[in-house]
Amino acid sequence: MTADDWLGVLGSVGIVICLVFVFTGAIPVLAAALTFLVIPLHSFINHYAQASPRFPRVAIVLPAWNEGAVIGASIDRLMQLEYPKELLRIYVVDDASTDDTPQVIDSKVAQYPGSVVNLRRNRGGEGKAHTLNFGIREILKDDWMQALLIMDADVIYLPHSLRRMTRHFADPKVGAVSAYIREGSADKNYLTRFVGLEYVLSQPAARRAQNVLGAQACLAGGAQLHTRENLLAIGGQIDTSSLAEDTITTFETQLNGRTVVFEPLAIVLAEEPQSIEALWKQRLRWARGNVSVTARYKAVWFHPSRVHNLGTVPFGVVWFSLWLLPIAMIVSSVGLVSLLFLQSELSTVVFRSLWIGAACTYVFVLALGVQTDSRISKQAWREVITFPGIISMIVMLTAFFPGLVEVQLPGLFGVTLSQQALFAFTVSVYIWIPFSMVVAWLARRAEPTRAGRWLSPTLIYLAGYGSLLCAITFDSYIKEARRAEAVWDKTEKIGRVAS
Amino acid sequence: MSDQHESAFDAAQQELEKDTRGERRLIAYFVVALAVVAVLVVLHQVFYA
Repeated sequence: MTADDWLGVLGSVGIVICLVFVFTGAIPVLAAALTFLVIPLHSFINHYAQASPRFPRVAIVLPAWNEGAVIGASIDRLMQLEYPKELLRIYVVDDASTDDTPQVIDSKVAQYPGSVVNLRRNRGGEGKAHTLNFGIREILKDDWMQALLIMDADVIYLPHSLRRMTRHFADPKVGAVSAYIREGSADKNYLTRFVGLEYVLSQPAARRAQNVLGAQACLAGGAQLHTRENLLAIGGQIDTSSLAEDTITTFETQLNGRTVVFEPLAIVLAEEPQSIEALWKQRLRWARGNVSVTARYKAVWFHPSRVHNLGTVPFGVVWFSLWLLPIAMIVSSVGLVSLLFLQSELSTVVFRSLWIGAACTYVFVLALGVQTDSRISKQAWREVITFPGIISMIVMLTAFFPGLVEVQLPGLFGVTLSQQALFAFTVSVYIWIPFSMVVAWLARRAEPTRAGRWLSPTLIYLAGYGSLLCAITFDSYIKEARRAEAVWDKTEKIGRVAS
Repeated sequence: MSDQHESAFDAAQQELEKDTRGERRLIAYFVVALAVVAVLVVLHQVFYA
């Protein structure tokens, strides 16, 4: 073979490698499409046929650390649940609070004698799982509890929510039921509206798909109901070795052969972070927890089992496509830019195919997802439109309607882009997705400055909320690689939920 | 069963039947979402194919 032949072979190999790189960006898109295509099947494949009214004795364990602003309202709302009062007991575990939480709890114990129990830890600050375990140990000391509801101090249960959860226990295979955590702040800002929309897409939409697939990824931390049998089967306590205790509880339940059901119509309101900094801390904790879960259950992934569905290929693809999304975005962009230099015409075809697919999937996911909770979607209509980010929308338009952005729009202003300008524009479009994570990071850095009040929201609307979440996931890789200390960092709650 | 429990049971039973029927709305949501995507694809075909 001549040198030219070798160069040809190397070029072909390079093109194949680039195509493989680019295709990694399509995997999350395919996973999202698969998830949302499954949702309508929930009309027929759901757990309602096995459900029937059930009213077990429910012990509610309510961890509280400096929750004086919210704990009273939470207890009041729990006592207003449409559920027989004699079948409910609320165990408030005061994690050595230093505010007026003990006084508020004492007043509620007096107000609801026999229904509210005050359990105080003298040494606190070890994290939610330790606090929960303190309460669970007390609750398991007698046989009264038939079902255990784990919740957060700040959430508000709608009156019908608990009985909508307990009805699934008519099926003895069910070990746990999760409710829909809806963003419920009274004073919403752009970020809480984005979070609210994210919760719509990830819960009443995506978790219905997980019901159909028979595997749930995570019970909601603030709304999970376990049977006594399930709680005992997973060791009678919550895992304290990682930051992802809810996910580990969910996995252990299913690995023990019990079903986890998501009940989309049991609605629980929660306040979510209003600042990027607070959201970053919360999600970094979740993302680092997911790193440990992925490693801990390495024997489960892609190993189908007769006992559970966590090892199925669809569940594995969905799990890893979310967990590795930032890497997929970077690798895909590297492949696309490399392909541009190796074979520009092919790169154009590949770019358009990828982004047309992404645009169709995005439109389908949002159009289907927002209908599953129209109340939140109406409140967040601006965030619905700009969810992928304004610049990503322009990239989608570039793929879907070639010439519109490069030729026709500049032409309206009498501008014709030169070849160099078009090439620079193309490279910018190809690298935008990984770069959007940098913009999201800049939004975080800008937040405490004087300009941050308008600059941070502007940057998030431009980069997209998804890019912000990807940037946080990427940060979790860095923290894990550096073996940074994993601390339980409580998200501040000040009682903003609309009651 | 006490009157209170019987009443709660009846309410829960009616709620379950209503919720079961309500899940069929997902089919309509799916059709609407597909229609939105179809409009996008048709626009693409008409103006840029």
